[in-house]
Amino acid sequence: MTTLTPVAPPTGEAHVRPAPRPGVGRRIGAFAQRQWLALLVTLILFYLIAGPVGMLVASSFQQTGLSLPFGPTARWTTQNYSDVFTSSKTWSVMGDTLAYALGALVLATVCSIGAAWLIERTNVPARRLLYVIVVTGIGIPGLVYGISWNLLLNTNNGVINQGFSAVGLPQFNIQSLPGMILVEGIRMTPLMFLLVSAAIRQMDGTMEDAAAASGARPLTTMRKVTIPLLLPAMAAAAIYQFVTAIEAVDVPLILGLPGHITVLSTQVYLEVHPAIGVADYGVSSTYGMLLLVLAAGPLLAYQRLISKSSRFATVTGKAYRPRRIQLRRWRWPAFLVMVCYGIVTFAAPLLVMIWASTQPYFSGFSWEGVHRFTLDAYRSVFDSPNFTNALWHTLVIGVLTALFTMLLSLLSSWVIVRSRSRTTALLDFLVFAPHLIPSVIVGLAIVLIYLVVPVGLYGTIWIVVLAMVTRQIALGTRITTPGIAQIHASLEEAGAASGAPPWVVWWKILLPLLRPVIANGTLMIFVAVAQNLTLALMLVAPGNSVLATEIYNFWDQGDVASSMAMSVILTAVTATAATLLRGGERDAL
Amino acid sequence: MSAVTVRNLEHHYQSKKNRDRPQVDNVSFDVNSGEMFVLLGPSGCGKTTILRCIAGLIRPSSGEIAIDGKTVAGPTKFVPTYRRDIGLVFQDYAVWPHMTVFENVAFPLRHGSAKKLRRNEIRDQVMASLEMVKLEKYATRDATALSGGQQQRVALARALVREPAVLLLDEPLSNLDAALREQMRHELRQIQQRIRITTLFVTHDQSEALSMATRIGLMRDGVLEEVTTPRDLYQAPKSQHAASAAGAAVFYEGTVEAVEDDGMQRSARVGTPVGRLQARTLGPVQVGQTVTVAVRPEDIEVHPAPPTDRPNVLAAKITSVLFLGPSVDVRLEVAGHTMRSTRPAKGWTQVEDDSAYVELPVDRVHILPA
Ligand SMILES: Nc1ncnc2c1ncn2[C@@H]1O[C@H](COP(=O)(O)OP(=O)(O)OP(=O)(O)O)[C@@H](O)[C@H]1O
Ligand SMILES: [Mg+2]
Repeated sequence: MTTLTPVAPPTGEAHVRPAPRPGVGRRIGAFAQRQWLALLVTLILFYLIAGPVGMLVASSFQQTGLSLPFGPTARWTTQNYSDVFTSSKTWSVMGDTLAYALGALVLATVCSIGAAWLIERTNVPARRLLYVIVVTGIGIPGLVYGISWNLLLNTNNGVINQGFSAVGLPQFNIQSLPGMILVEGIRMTPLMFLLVSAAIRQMDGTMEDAAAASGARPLTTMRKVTIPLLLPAMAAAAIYQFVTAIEAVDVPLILGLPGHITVLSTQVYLEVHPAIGVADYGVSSTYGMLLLVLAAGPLLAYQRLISKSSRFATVTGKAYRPRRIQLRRWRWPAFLVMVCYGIVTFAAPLLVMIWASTQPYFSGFSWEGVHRFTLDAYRSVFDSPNFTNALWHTLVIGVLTALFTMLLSLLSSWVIVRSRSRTTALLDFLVFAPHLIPSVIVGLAIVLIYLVVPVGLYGTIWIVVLAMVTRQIALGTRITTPGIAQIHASLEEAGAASGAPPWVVWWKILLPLLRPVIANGTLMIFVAVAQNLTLALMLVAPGNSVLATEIYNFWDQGDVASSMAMSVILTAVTATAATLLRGGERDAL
Repeated sequence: MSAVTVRNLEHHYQSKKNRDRPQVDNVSFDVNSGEMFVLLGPSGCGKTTILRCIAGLIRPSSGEIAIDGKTVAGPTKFVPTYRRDIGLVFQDYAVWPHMTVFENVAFPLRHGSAKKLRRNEIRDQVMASLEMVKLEKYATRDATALSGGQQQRVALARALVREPAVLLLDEPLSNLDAALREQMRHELRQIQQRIRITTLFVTHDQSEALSMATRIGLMRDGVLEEVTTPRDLYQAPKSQHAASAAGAAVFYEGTVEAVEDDGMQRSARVGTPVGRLQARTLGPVQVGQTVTVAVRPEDIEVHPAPPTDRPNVLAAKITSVLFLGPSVDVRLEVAGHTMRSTRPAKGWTQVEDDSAYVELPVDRVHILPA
């Protein structure tokens, strides 16, 4: 009954039909599922990424004067480029953008390396507490952070500036390039700190001990072993953060605009939201192209570093921790410095935010103000249907984006990790590419697509979800790829060998094992989405406003109390979500 | 009837470097019902690849595979793993950490069976399977709260619970320490004998292969060289590779000087660098032919004085003696060549630099084609 022929005798001829050579045609069957999945995921990602980039490039070559790109009066032109490149404004914007991003980066690097070194490598007291102090800032949205610092350090009635004046010190103007650098720098520090401290923690202590045993003095060890080993991780973190700095409009809009400092992201935004006149999508797209180029260089370098740094992999799971440096009499001073840092960067903005939300009008801090304490702002905010809608939209957009992104990330990561086919190289690039596209560009391009292609998405929350998924997919896969790689393939294969079809293997084995990764990824994306002003502002219409845009609008109209009341609520939402994150997976960032 | 049939199996991993040389090259064999078939070969020779082809985790480049008479892989056919009637045990156990021992073992019944089983049927079968591997007391434990050996038993119980047509084992004992490995070897053999399950076992460990197999498939560089019984592989190897695959052996090249055939047995006299040796031969040999002579160290006897009237006795000098507990490992110099012998430690008295006489019993000296 066997359909096979008997074993051919050693010398005789085999009676088996010659099997066909491997080829394209025979790749059907078991692996078809995997390959269909790879194809599907690739197509979705391609649609999400190529659409916006294509739109941006095309509309930067459109003369749009009074209409939309590809509208009735639009025509092809290189005018936008000659306008942009001959304008002296462009070069000052470029200069300010670089100064802003690099300055903030240097500040964040210094702060985060200092903090990470103290917490991970010395015996400074209460390290867990200090860790929390540094990291908690992640819960404050950049927009809220910018506004709070404006209230602390503006030259008119900034609380800290009032203090400076009282003791005869000169005031610091936050609405300036140094001010923007200061705020963006300390805003970036928590995330940078997480990246750097993870790298330091994963370093195997025996590497340093081996240097010491070879006769190297501590400083030599640091110079020749510690720093070279950590360099790839540090550089990767810095480049990642560079793009974060140039892509967002929040801090530049709030602190830069009043002081007439424009960076590329705000320039893109202002061209389509001019104070007077009509939007010029063509010129905006051209500025967007500049931004794209500015982001692309470092990020391609980043990609190379990441792939190369696996050579430096010193992660061994059971890696033995390096010895801590004894600070002796500097222990408590170091602790105090860290606490002060926490007060200045976290407590002060939070307190001024709460203070301003309880004042009928903001005029800095004064004892009379205490008597003016009122909750009117909260009352009016909660009574306003706009707020209820915005809160609802924020939650819905956050949750939907997080779920869709995680689904897409899980599928892409699984294909990347589990198959060694040629498509995975493309997929690998596609999941990383959204890093290349700054938020403000994703926003602009998606607005253009759905203005030009009227499918009824414009002005709905779906367009925001679409844009957010595009932007967050890179973060999502950064969490899910290592997550899936940790799960040995044999755990899935054992499922198949037990007779379970693929969907059962996913449902009963893979997803339960990935639960912590999925939970943390969902939370992180939710937090990032709720905090994202840039995309929301680009895509917002009356029907789909979110908390971030409402906060900005109230602030823009001068209603500080309402704006701050909403900020308190938004911060409460994102900070709660952030504290639910579990230690280990936060490092995935 | 054979439970597994493999015909002209060939597999290339899709990598540019090794396009021309398949990792599994035209392999054909049968595993008979109820037997324990062992694939033995050095690391990287393609054993795991064959096993994974049979399990359906790899689609072979060409060739046919049938399980229980049903073709599962062929030119136009490929049955995915979960529809194959197999049980699989991995080297790294692959016990699911998010389930208890019971849930792990129940999984194939709950999700792998075509027919729905009732709760108490599942419980009975799982417990029977756990009893077989002596883990019935651990049913409610978390799978991660077990030792390596216990996890391996869970994996075995999980593979057996569906009563598959064939049990596939990929070096299941290699992650265990030496003592535990020994014990598991016995248990595995007992279970297999008791339930008579057709088993394909993959290993690079010669003593594992010799002790467990009904038949051994000897592999090298992707090619299945021969299929023999453990006894034949050890006592009458057909090649130098086969001789060393079944344990340590010393080899000398030599020339056949004379052939005797008494109608019952054929033997030959071979001139080797250590001296003239009388040897039995299975295949035909001719005078003047160059051959390899193989002897196992445990077959070489060492005498303080020359025994009389025995063939194959050579004068030697002891160069080193290693005490191994039950035995001693003796190195000797014979006509300027090193020879190795393993002798029982009991009664051994000689030391380094003593002179001695080695005896190579005629029926233990194997002639292999050079
Ligand atoms: N995924 C793969 N891609 C490319 N080559 C592979 C892959 N897996 C195995 N090989 C190669 O195929 C050959 C056979 O590998 P296989 O795993 O079957 O060996 P093995 O006999 O099981 O060895 P071991 O005893 O070490 O487990 C090896 O040379 C190996 O390098
Ligand atoms: Mg193997």
